[in-house]
Amino acid sequence: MRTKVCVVVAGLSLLLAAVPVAAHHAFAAEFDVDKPVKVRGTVTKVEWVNPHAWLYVDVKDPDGSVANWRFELGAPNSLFRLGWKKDTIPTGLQVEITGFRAKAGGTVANGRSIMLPDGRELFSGGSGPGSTPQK
Amino acid sequence: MKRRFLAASTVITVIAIVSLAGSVPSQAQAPAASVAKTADTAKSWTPPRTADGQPDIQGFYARNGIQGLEANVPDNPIDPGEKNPLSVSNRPDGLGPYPRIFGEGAVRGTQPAQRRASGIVDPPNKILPWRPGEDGKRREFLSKMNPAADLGHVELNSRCALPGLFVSYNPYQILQRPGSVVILSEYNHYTRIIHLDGRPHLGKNIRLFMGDSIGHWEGNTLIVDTTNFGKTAYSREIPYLSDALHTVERFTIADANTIDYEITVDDPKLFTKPWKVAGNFSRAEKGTEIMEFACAEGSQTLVNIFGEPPRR
Repeated sequence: MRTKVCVVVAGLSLLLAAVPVAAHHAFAAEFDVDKPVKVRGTVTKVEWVNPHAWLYVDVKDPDGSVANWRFELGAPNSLFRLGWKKDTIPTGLQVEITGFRAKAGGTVANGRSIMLPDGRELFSGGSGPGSTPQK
Repeated sequence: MKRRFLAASTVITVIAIVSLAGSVPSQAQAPAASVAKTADTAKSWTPPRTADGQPDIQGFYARNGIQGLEANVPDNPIDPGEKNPLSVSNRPDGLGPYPRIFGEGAVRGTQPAQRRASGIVDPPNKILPWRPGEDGKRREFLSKMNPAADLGHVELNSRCALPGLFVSYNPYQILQRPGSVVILSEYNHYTRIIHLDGRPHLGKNIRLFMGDSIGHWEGNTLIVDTTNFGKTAYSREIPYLSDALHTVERFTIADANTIDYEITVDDPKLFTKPWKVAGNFSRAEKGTEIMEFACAEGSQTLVNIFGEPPRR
């Protein structure tokens, strides 16, 4: 099932990569391209809200404290059309996410890609760099 | 690891594309000849009529070609375009180029986007006729958008404002009823009503994000005159137009699957003369529907730029 989702996501994303459309918001005004981030953690929630869905992840720091990060994804409609389903990323899944931190700081970022436990990678379909596979 | 994934994804992507190509009909709502016709052959095509006699253009569409760039486009600190030296696409670490899919989802037209000249078509050299000083003011404004100097320098889209006539996110749906043509947009879920009943424009004190649109048919061309704009933008590079903006759009039926689109931008406060942008509306893929896009539902954009508001 997940393989199927990944195939659809990869396929549709590649098809779409050539379509020149603008994003709902300008990525660079909201997120800091000089602050890439990569975290590993446990999914606590996927929020399917407009204008962007959000992925919440508990990330454990070396000192044992846990911070809840949230990563911006594409619009729910876009994710749906890209092949995402509500259970594509279930709560409790261990993931590794790359993205770019929000200008205002905090544990907030634009999600670029999500590495699943078996090594497969989902692209967020969001507004940031690399959120879809490129040609 | 990444290389292995890319190799694997290339294979599965090809499979996915092949399987998609097999499952998606070549066109959506019209007879089999889905290949784009030339303007000459299109003249022989006669569109069906609605009950009140309008050429029937109802259906789902993707719009292409609008928001074309001007020749001397400024370096915009918020623009992700590859040609912009300030763009995130030009990162040296391979994390670019900036993907441009958000808002479009998988909805695409069935007809070639570049059916004919698109983007800014008049003047042909794409150098816009800015009034003295106005181009400089525009560039100064852009320089204050990242970091955003204040709320007024956050692009209208990020504030979930209605997008006006230029910002293009697919799909669209065109409906017709006696006395009007209605354009529904998934993006921001707006309803644009073009009145065909000959009414005058609204009073000058009424300002609307989508403007006030009055239309009429001339043969197979719907001509729409729009005034009463409030805040609106042309693109990321032209983040505002003035309240003197007056547009004339021409929706010309080219064939069963394509409406050629042209919009004249007349903004005498910013430009010395009108200029034109062209594109098209192409029938969307079969199965396209409008889904809700409630921008204000969970927007975090302003918080991500300015931080959390103070607690009271």
